[in-house]
Parts: sequence; C-alpha cells; structure tokens
Amino acid sequence: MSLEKFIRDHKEGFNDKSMPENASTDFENLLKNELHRPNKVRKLHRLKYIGIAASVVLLLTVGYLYNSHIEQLEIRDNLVIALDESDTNSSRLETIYAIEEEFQNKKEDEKILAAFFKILKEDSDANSKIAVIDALLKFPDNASVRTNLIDALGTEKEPIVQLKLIKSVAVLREQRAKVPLQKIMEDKETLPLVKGNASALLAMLNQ
Amino acid sequence: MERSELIKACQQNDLKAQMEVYLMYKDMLYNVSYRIIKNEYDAQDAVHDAFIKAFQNISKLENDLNLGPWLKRIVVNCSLDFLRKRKKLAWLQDASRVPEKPEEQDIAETMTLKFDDVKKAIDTLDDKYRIIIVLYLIEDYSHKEIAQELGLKESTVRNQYVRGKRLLKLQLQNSMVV
Repeated sequence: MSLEKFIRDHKEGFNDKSMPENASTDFENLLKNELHRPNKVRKLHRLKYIGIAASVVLLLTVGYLYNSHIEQLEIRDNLVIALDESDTNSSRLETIYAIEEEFQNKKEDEKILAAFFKILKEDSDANSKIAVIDALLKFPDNASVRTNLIDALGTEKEPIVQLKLIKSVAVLREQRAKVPLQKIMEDKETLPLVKGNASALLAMLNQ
Repeated sequence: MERSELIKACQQNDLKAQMEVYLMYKDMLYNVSYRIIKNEYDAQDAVHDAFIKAFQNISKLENDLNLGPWLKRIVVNCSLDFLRKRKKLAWLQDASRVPEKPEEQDIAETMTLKFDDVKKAIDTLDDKYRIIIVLYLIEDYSHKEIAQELGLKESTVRNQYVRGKRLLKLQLQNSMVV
C-alpha cells in the first residue's frame, strides 16, 4: 500500500484529541462577550474605541503641529541671524526676500518685524530699505509697523527711500505723517521731487 | 433541532444554537487546528476564534450540508493566521525559492506501515513539509488550494509535498531499520 493511500485510509486515526473540558465554558463566555452583549454596551465600547482613536489622532496632530511650529521658529531665528550678520548689500537683500517668501501669508512675527525696523533705522543701503518697506506694508494694520514707517519718514535722508516712504504713508493714510512730511518740505537739502510728493500727500491728508 | 433549523437559529444569533454547533464540531476543529499549530493551548484559541468568525459570517453559508467543511476551512485559515502572527511561517519565503523540479529518486513503497509510526514521522517533519502534507493528505486540500492559503506557487507546493513525502518515507524506513 502506498504511503499516501495509507494516510488517507487512516485519516480518522489522526482525530485523537479532544478539547479540554473547561474550554466550553471559556467559549460560552467569549461568545457572550463578543456576540451577545446588549447593543448599548457594544455601542459604548465602540464609542470608547472611537474615543481612543480620536485621542490618538489628536495627539499626533498636536505633535505634528508642535514640531512644525518648532521647525518654523528655527527657520525664523536662522533667517533673522543671517539678516543681522549680512555684511554685503546683496546678501542682506537676499535674506529679506527669503524671509518674505518663507513667511508670506502668515501672521506677522515680532522678531522679524524688529529685525526689519532695525534695517529701517540703521544706515543700511537703499535697496534693502525699500525691500523692507514692501515687506512691512503687508501688515498695514499692525500699529508698530505704522509707527516705525512714520518714524523712518522723519529720519530718512536718501531721496529714493523718502519717496518710497511717502507713498507707503499715503497708502496707510496716517495723519501722524503730517509732522515728518512738513519737516521734509522745510529741509533745504530735500530734492524738489521729494518735496513735491510730500506736499501732495500733506494736501491729501489735510482734506 | 435539525441542522437547517440550527443554522437558521445561529443566523439569528441564538446563543443556545451556537453552543450546540460548537459542541458538535469543537473536537473535529480542534484536531484540525492542532495538526497545523502543534500546541494545545494555541489550537484551542484558534478554534474559538474560528467559531466566533463563523457565527459572525454564518449568513454567508449557502448550503446547510456544508457546515462542517465550511467550519474546517475557517479553522485552517485561523490556524495559519495564528502561525503567521507568531512569525512561524517564515519558511514560506524559502519555500518559494526552491528549484522547480524535484529530484527524481524513489523509495520503495513496499514497507509495512504502522499508523503510530506514520503519525510520529509526520509530527517530526519540518513545518514546511508537515503543514503541506497534513493539508493535502488529511484535510483534503488540493495543491492549488494549499498554494492559495500559503501564498505560494502551485508548483512550489507540489515540490514541497514531494520532498516532504520522501523525507517521511526515509524516516519510516530508518525507524524500521532501527
């Protein structure tokens, strides 16, 4: 007789085991627990699992947002340091554009604003100041932005920057600009073109 | 209760009917699972798991007469899943890399076989041969069905089966010599 046939003919002999006696009780309990719990209990359990799942998702989201926030702060700090340490006009301008790009459509950041105000006040190059003014104008409702632009209008001596500031203040329709505008007009060293623009804005603000 | 009534009651989630089905088939399924898993406690768990799955899906059972074979299929699945979870089916990866053609070498089939010797020899085979031999010769699975269950090519299953059978014969021959 072949081995295959022998095994097949003696199949029943392989069924020599029985479930342990206590297995039926265990199974009945398992069955009741799995398929016979009242709907309310099962719903509560389902809700419990949904709650756990929701908590996990929330935790992951919070974790992700926190990491993302930390990452964003790191980028900001690096850019602000880079801006502060820029030793050429082109590298400063490049960093200003990088900050603008990185933080576009985002809420204004005090640290970045402070770095921009510093450029406006310092003896920086005209191109950097113009780029900073453009960047600051994206936050027209920010009080310190408005104040710093008006202050810059009062101290700036570079004609091209003066013109840019006059146009900015015109956009902001700031009444507080009247004093620095008057000062520009009275300054003998101010270029006629700048004086003309200052005069026009002053007239507009007095309307 | 007749079988059709019993199944109908199970479909309505009747605890008494479910326990009746359990008592009718528990030992049969336990033997099937034990032959695959080779551990009493794990086999018991696999059987209970299989019954729960079966009662959850009993509405899918089309023919009342198929209840036994249907339950057997479920317990085979559960037992193999159990081994998969315990990473005891790692040999499947090696099995899929064996050469397609088995070596041609036959062993005399004229020996006198004793059931206990055969059972013992099957039990001592490596899982990669034992499970295929058990499914093919005892549970009546075809090579194709075994291949589907284990995710192997049918030709690989055939080769493993031939090798397993040869090893089994060798073991039986050796035990007779001794």
